[in-house]
Amino acid sequence: MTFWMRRCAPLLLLALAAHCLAGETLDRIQGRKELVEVVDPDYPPFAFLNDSNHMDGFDVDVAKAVAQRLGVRLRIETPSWELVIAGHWRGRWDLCICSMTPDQRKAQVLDFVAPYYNSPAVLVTTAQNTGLQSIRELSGKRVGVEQGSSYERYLQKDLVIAAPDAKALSYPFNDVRIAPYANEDLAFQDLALGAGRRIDAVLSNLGTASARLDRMRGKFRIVGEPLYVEPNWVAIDKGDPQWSALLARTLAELKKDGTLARLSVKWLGKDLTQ
Amino acid sequence: MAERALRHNGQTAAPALVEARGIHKGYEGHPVLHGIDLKVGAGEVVALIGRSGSGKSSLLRILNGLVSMDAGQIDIDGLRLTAQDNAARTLRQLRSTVGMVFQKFNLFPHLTAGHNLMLAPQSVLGLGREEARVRALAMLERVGMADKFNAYPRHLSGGQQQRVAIARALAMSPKVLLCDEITSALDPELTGEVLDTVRQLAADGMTLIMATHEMAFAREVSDQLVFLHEGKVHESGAAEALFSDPQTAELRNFIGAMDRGRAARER
Amino acid sequence: MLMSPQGFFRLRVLLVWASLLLAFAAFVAGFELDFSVVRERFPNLLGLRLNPDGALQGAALSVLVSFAAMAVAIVLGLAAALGKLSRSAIAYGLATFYNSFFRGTPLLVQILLIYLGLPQLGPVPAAIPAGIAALALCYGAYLSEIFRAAIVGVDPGQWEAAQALGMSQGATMLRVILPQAFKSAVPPTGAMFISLLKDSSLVSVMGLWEIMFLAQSYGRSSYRYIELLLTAAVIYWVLSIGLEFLQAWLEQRLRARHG
Repeated sequence: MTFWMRRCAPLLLLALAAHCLAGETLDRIQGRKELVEVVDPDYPPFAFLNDSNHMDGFDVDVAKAVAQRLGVRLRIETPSWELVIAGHWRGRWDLCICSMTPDQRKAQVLDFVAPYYNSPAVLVTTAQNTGLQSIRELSGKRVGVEQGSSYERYLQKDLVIAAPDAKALSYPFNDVRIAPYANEDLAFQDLALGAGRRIDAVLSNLGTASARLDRMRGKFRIVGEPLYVEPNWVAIDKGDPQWSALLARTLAELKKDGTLARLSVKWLGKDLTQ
Repeated sequence: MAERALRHNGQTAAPALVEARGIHKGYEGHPVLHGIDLKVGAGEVVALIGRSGSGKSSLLRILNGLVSMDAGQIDIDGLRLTAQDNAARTLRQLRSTVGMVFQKFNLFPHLTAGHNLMLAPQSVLGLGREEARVRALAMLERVGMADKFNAYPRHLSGGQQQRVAIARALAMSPKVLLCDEITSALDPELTGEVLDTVRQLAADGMTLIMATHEMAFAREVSDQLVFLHEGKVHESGAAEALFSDPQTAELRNFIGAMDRGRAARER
Repeated sequence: MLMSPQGFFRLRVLLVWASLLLAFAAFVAGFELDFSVVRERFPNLLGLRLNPDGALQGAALSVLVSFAAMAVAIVLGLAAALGKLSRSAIAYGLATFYNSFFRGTPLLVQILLIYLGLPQLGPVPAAIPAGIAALALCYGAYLSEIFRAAIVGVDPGQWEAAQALGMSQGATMLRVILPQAFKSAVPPTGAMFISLLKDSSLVSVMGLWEIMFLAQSYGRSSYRYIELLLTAAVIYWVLSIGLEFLQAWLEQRLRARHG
């Protein structure tokens, strides 16, 4: 082979290999001895910045457990949600244990590996509003939700749960007015002004709602039973079946030996990982 | 390209240092110069007189290439400039031969008087710092401003600033100095020091082409007077002759108006 | 007379400031806020400590990104200003296109184009360089208009004088025009710098832990949203005041020199 062919051939092969992405994530993780996890940093008790300036929470602890199983250290990155669900991570991040619910659009750019816990959707109102017992009574009333969330779509009667065993949803309410907010905190702040002032209730998930209720005792209460359940899956960048397989095995092990259940009880008060 | 300019008439004994032929200039369809011919010998002092808008400033700016001409030809010290041939390099060569002093002085406000003088020699002629400083000092001495080397223009009077401006032009050793109404922006009591400086330059043999409203001064110092009227040379010749015996009505009116104006100011 | 007229004026201005600040404090006090959570997190907000991954955070990060971006923006702005004043069709075309695009599109879009779009062509930029690049490109476009106005605002007589002395275009620009344009460009440039400092919060979309990111995250995790946001506001305000002092000092020095 000529001088240049010897030099160019490996580069061409590398280019082809990069296109395949096979095993690339694992190589990177093993090479750097580091697992890079992304979380939504403002989602207590799943992921949040604690008093000692470290990321903490259920999602973070599960990621730590995975890293430990793989024998590498964990690094947490906090890019904005839009960047994560846009896919094409370019090797910047390895996995997302970040309370993501799968849907068609996300599935186009991400691979969903396995479910790791369920999010029951609950209605929250003020403690004083003892009259409210179910969502049926909210006709003509305003319910706060995070803009673009599945809770907003539920109130719009337009929610599709992307899980294999998902039952068709019932919408036991009529004429509920939706009040969208940029984030949940703003919704809860308005609710704290008093039911009926700006909004009457907030639709959110049991995990974050419980954490909030714990922190702000006596202000809010959960109304009735959960309205539906959404599964949360672990997601990775599309196109790395080796990594997906290894991750699925690791998660299965963590489920089997009770790690997931333990963490769920620690952070969410009950085992939501089944 | 350098070409030797030919003498066209035997009137001037010395070969013409500056010869302009058929200069035409218009701004946005409005014509300003309608074919100007001018011949200036070495060491001559030429005064351009005429009403505002008669084209004096434009003519001067064409002579050093600040403004382009629409048609015509200029020969200065062997350098030829035409309406078509006006490359940047030619212009820069031209400007090292021809210096200019402006009505509004245009000193560089962020530099001291000395540095005003040192800038171009260093930048254009490649002089070293010490060389440029020596030259600057010498030029300031020549105009009587040596003690203001470190002063900023804003701390100088109008007359002082204009003298520094003259020195700045001289620092480039020009063969011809163009003066564009250099006393018009000065208070009357300050014009004297500037005129003295120009008088000295003329006596030293500098070739001067000055646009001016100072009739008495023009009469006293210039060898040739050129009266511009509506973009044309209406009359030209020896200063004394033109003043005592104007041939055209326009020049007569102009001199009359100037005299009346001066009388009004002196009253 | 105990005090000069200027001294008396300054005293009254100080009293106005003091009353406004007191009014603001009273307004805020009415919110039932609890600032104890802020105290523990304050060193992190300021960036006096590194984050768990050993990276810069908080105000230190915001300041680093802003100063770096401003330095590059000034270079870009000057180049674009000169391009727009140039007679070369290529230079003019490039400058006007750059100006139009980077002033006409949202900064967030620009950040994402660099962070997400550039990898399509090969290089995968890290968050800090991508943030600095986006901020520099955006603000360079705004600065170019400021610089161009400042250059054009220099008395044309200065050009004439320099050209009449035989100086080249480049030398004239460098030694005569730009030093004078500099003086009038300082106030609007200072204003842009303050604006850039606050826009630097957008780099948090790439995961950088600057002031707003930390303030919002602490706010959410401690459920003390407003307290943390107010603290962030005060930090930005103090930084801006710092920049204003810097600008005033620069203007003072230029006045002493140029008058």
